[in-house]
Amino acid sequence: MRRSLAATLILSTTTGTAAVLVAAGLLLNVLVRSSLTDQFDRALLEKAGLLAAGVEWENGNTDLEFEDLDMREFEGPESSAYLELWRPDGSALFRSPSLGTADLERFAGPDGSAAFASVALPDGRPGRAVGMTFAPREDEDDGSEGGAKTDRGTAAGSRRKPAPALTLVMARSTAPVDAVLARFRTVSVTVGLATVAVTAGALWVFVRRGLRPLDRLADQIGGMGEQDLSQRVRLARAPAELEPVVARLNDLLSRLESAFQRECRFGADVAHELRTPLAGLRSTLDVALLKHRQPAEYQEALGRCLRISVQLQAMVERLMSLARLDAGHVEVRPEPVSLNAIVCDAWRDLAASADARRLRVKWSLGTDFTIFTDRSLLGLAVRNILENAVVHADAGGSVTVETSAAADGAELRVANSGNRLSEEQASHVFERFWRGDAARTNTGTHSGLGLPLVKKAIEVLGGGLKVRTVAGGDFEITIVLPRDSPSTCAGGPQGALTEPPP
Amino acid sequence: MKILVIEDYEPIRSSLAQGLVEAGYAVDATGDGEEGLWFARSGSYDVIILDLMLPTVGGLTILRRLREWKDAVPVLILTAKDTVKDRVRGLDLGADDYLVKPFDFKELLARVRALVRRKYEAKSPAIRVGDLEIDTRTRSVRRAGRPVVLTAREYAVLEFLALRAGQVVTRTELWEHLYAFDAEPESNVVDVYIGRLRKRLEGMKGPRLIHTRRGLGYVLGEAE
Repeated sequence: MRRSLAATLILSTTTGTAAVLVAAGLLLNVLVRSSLTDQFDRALLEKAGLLAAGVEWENGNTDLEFEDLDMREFEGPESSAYLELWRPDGSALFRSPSLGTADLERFAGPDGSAAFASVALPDGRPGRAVGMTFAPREDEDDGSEGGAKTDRGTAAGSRRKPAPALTLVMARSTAPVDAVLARFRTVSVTVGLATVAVTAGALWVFVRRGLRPLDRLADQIGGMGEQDLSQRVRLARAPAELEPVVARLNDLLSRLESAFQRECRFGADVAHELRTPLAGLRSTLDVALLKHRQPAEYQEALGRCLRISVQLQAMVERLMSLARLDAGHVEVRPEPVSLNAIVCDAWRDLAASADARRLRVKWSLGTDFTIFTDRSLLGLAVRNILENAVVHADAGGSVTVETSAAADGAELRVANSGNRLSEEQASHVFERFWRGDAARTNTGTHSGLGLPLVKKAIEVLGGGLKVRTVAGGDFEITIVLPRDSPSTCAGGPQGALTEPPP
Repeated sequence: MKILVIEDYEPIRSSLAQGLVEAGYAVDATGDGEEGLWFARSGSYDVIILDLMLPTVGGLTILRRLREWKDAVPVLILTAKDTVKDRVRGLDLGADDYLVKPFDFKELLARVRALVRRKYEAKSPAIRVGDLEIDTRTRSVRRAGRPVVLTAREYAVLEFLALRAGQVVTRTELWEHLYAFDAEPESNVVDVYIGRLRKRLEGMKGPRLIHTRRGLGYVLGEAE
C-alpha cells in the first residue's frame, strides 16, 4: 500500500496527542481522586473525632452525649452514614439507626490511631470508613442528664475504674465523591476527544496547505507536453524543502531539452541529407522514363542511379556505425594490430581517387610497431581520416600521412593542403553534418559524418585526437592511440562495423 | 521558353536539364551560386529553378539580389529543407514557388508551366489566337480544329509568340528565349523557324497568322 505523507503525518501526530492526553487524563484522575478522598477522609475523621469526644466515661459507664452533634446522617434507613461503637470485648456498644441490626467491620489503626478503609456499606454501596480506638472522656461530675443513654449493665459499681478503650468505626457513602469523579471523567474524556479531533482537523488543514506546493508542482509537471521541453517549473512561494527539488527538476528539464533538440536537429539533418541523393535518384529515373529511349540512354541513367545508391549506402552505413557507437553496441576486441598495416589497407581503396585528383602523397611511416586495439574500429577511423584528406585537398595538392610511436602508444598524423577552414570553423569539424562550406549540399561522399565517426571510434578505443589548421595551408588531424585499448563487451545485438569502400 | 537551373548536386542538375530540354525548354544549368547569379543577370530566363544550399553564393542570397535588381523572373525554389519556416522565408524573399526534394518531375514541369503562364499573364493553359488553339499542357496545336504537327523548337517559337499575342516580339527576344547560353545557332535561325511555322500553319487555307513588322520583329494575330 502506498504511504500518504499527509495521512502518516496526521495519523502519527494525532496518535501521539491522544496518548499524551490519555496519560494526562489518567494522572489527573488519580490526583483528583486521591485529593477528593483525602478531603473526604478528613471530613470523616473530623466527624468521627467529634463523635468520639461525645463519648463519656462516667461512673464506670459509658455515656454517649451526641445531642450537640448533627446526627441526622445516621438516622433512618435512607441515610448515607453509619456508626458503630464496640466495647473492648468486641460487643457492640452502639449502632447508628441507619445500621439497623447490621454490623460494620471493626478495625482501627495500630496503637488506636485512626485508619481509613474503603468498604462496602451494608446496603451494598461503596463507602469509606474510619476506624479508631479511643478512651472515652472521663467525667467526675455525677448525675448529669443523659442517663437514658447510660450503659449501666456492665459497669455498675465500677466507679474509678479506668475508662475502657472503645472502638469506633464510622462509614459514609462515597457517592458524592464518585459523582464528582464521574463528572470529571466525562469532562476530561470529552475534552480529550475534542482536542484529538481538533488537532487532527487542524493538522489536516495545515498539512494539506503545506503540501499544496507539491500539488502545484504536480500540476505544472502534468501540464508539460513532451513536445515542448522549454517549459520550466516555477513555484511561487515554494517552501525551502521543495526548492532543491524544483531546481534539480529544472536542471533535468534543461538537460533533456538540449538532448532533445540535439536529437531533433540530428533527425532533421539525417532526413535532409538523405533527401538530396533520393531526389537525384528520383529525378534521374523520372526523366529516364519520360519517353522511350535508346538502350545507351537507359544505361547511362542506370549508371547514374547506381552511383547515387552507392553514395546513399555509404551514408547509411556511416549513420548506422555512429548509431551503434552511440548506443554502445560495439564490441571492442583488442588484438595486436600494426598501425602501418591498417593505414596501408585503408589507402588501397583511396589510391584511385587520390590519383584522379592528382594528389601528391607524402608517406612517413615509422618503424612497424604493434598496438593492442580493435582492428575494425581503428580501420574505420583511419579510412575516414584518409578519405577526408583526399576529398578536401585542393586538386593537384598534397596529402601527408605520418605514423610514429608516441610516449604511450601510437600516433597517426594526416594532413592535406588547400585548407579553407579558419581556426573557429575547424573546431566544428567533429560535429555531425557540419560542413566547412555551409551551403554545400551533401553529395554522398562529403556527408559531414566522416570525422564525427572518427572521433567517436577513437574515443571508444580510448585514444584522443586534435586538429590543426593553417589558413590557406594545411588541415591536419592527429590521432593518438593507447598501447592497449580498453576491451568492452556491450550487451545487445552485436554487429561488426563495416563500411563499403568509398 | 528558357530556364535556368542552379543546383549543386550533379545528378539532380543533369537530370533536370535533360528533362527540361526534352520538354522543349532551353536550359542553362550550373552548380555554383556565383555563376548562377551571373547567368541570371545576363540571360533572359522565363523561370529560374533554384537550390538553396549552394557553394560560394547561397540560393537565398541569389534570390535577394535578383529582387533588388527589380528582376521579376519567376523563381522556383527546389530544396530539401521542408519546414514551414524555410518555405515562408523563401517565399517572403520573393520566390514564386517552392518544391521539396525529392520531387516528381511531372509536378516540376507543371509548376514551371504555371510560372510561365503567370509571367505572361495567361490564366488558362490553353491559348487561343483567332482560330489557333495551343494547349501548353500537351504541347499540341490546332488550327481551325485540325491538328498541326510541330517540332519542339517550332512549338517553342509559336508558344512564345502566342503568350505575347498581339505584341511585337523582337528577333533577339525570340532568340534569347529559345536558346541556351552555350548554343550557337545560325544568325538567321529565328527567321528560319518563323518561315517553317508559317508554312505549317498557313499552308492550309486561312488568313495569315504571323505578321512581320519590318525592322522590329513579329506579331502573332492582329496587333493591338
